[in-house]
Amino acid sequence: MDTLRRHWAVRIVVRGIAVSFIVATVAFSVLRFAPGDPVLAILGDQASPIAAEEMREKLGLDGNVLTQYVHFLGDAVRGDLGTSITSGTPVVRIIGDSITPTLSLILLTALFALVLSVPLGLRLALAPDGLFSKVFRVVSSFSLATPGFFLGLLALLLFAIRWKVAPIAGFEPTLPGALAYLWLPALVICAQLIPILARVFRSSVLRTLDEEFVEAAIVRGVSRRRFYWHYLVRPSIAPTIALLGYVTGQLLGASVMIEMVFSMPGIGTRLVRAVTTRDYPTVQGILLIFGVLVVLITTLSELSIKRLDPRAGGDR
Amino acid sequence: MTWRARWRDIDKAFLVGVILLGLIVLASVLVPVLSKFDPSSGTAKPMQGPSSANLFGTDNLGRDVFVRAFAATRLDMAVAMAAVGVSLVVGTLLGAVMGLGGRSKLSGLLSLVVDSINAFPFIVLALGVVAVVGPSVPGVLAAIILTGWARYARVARARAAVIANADFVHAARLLGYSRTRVMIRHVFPNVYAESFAFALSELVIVILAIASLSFLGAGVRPPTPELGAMISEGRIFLAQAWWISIFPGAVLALAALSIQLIADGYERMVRYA
Repeated sequence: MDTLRRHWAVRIVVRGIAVSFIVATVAFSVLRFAPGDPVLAILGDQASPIAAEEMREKLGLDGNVLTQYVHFLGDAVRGDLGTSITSGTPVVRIIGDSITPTLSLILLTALFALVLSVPLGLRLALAPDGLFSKVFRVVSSFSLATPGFFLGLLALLLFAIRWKVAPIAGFEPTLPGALAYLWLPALVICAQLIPILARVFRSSVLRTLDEEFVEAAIVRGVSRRRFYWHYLVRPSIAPTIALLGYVTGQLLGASVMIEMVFSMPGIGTRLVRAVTTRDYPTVQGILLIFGVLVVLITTLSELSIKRLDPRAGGDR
Repeated sequence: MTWRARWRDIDKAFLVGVILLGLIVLASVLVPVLSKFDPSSGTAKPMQGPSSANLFGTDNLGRDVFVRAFAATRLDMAVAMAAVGVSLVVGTLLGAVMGLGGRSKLSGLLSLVVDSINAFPFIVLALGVVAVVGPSVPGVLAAIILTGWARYARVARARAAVIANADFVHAARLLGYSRTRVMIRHVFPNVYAESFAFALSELVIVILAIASLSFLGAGVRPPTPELGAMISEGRIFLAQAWWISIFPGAVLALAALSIQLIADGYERMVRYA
C-alpha cells in the first residue's frame, strides 16, 4: 500500500482529483460573486418578490452560500448538474450531447500539432540560422497576431466557399464522416499552436545536441532512423508534450471560437448559447466541465511525459 | 550618445510596431471625425464593394465599413487599455503581497484562488462573468479584469519571491525600515518593471479577447461599432460580400500584430540593455 502511495502515477492522479475540486469551486463562484444578480437579470427589475424567490430556488441560489456550496458539490459528484432553465433538460444530458464534436476536435488538433511540429522543430534545430528559420519566424508572428476566429473565417471563405473542399457548417458523429468536418477547424487551431510548439521542440533538440550521448552515437555510427528517433526526438520531446498538455487545456478556449465559426454543435457553442440566453445552470455546469477537462488533459500529459522520459520530474 | 549609436540600440521590430500602431491610433481618432459618413447610420447604398468613395465597401445597412472599422478600433483600444491598466495594478499589488507573504494563511489562500482562475481557459471564464453582468462595455470590462488580474498576480508573485531574498531587501530590513516601506520603496519598483513588460504582451491577448467576446454576441452589442461584432454581423454575407467581415478582421489583426511587435521588441531591449 505504501509503495503504491509513493508511485509517481498515483501521486499525479491524486493531485489531479484535488485540483478538480478547486476548479469546481471557481465554476460555483462565478455565478455568486460576479457583480450583478442573476435572478433580476432573468426576470427584470420589476419582478415580484415571490417570483424572484422561486427563481432563486430553481437556480440553487437560495439559502446561505456555504449550504449552496455543499449542495452543489454533492450533486456534482453524483453526476447531477441541475436542469437548464430554458429547455428543462438536465445539464448533464446537454453536456453529453455536445461533448463529442469538441473532444474529437481537440484530439485531432493535438494530433496534427504534434505530428507537424516535431519534424518542423527538428528542421529548425538542425539549421537555426538558415532561410527556413527566418521564414518560419515571420510567418509565425503573423499567425500568432491574427485572431483565431478571423483565421477561421478566412479559411471558411477560401476552402469552403471559394474552393468547396470543406463543408461550411455542421458535424457528423461517425468516424470517417467526422473527419470531413474536422480537418479544417483543426488546422486553423494548429496555425497558432504549431509556431509555439515547434519553437519549444527546436530549443530542446538544440540542448540535446550538446549531450555526450549524441556525440557518442555519431561516433558509433548509429543508423539514421535510430539516431533521429532514439537520440534526438525521444530525449527532447518531454517539454513539448508538457506544453501541448497545458496548451490543449487553453485550446478548449480556442475551440469555443472555432466551433462558433464553423457552426459545430459542440460544447463551446452550447456555452455561448447558454450565456446569451442567461441559462445559468447550464453555464455553471459547462464551466465545471471545462475546468475538469483542463485538469484531465494536464494530468494525462504529465503521465505520458513520465512514461516517455523518466528523467522528467513529476513533483513540480 | 550619437544618433547612429542610438539608432543601433533601438530594436527594429519595435520601431515597425510603434509606427504601425501610431498609424492605426491616428486613423482611429481622425477617420470618424473627418469622414462624411456616420459610423452608426447607413447613408450609402448597401452591400457595395470597396470603391474610392467607400474604401472598405458598405455593409448590409449601407454603413461605411471604413469609418465603422476605425471607430470600432478606438473603442476596442480604450476598453483594452482600461482593462489591462486595472488588472496590472491590482494583480501586481496582490501578487507582490503573496510573494512576500511566504507561508502565511492569507497568501496561501490567495495563491489558491490565483492558480484556480488561471487553470481555466481565459475566454471560457470571461463568458461566465458576462452571463451574470450582461453583454455590454461594463460587462466586458468586468469579465476581463476579474479573470485577468490572476495572471499578473502569478508573474508578480514569482518575481517578489525572488526579490524578497535579494541582498538589498535584507539590507533595508536591517536598517530598520518598516515592512510597508520596504515593500513600497524597495520591492514594488523591482516587481513592476517585469509586470509592465508582461502587460504589453497581455494587451494583445486582451484586445483579441474583447473582439472574441463581441464576436460571440457576449460583448459589445450592435449597433455600437466594435471589430468583433462587425466581423460577426458580416459573417452571414461572407459568400456575397466578404469585405463586411474581412476588413474589420484585417484591422484587428494589424492592431494585434503591431502591439505584438512592440511587446517583443521591448522585452528584447530590456533584456539586453
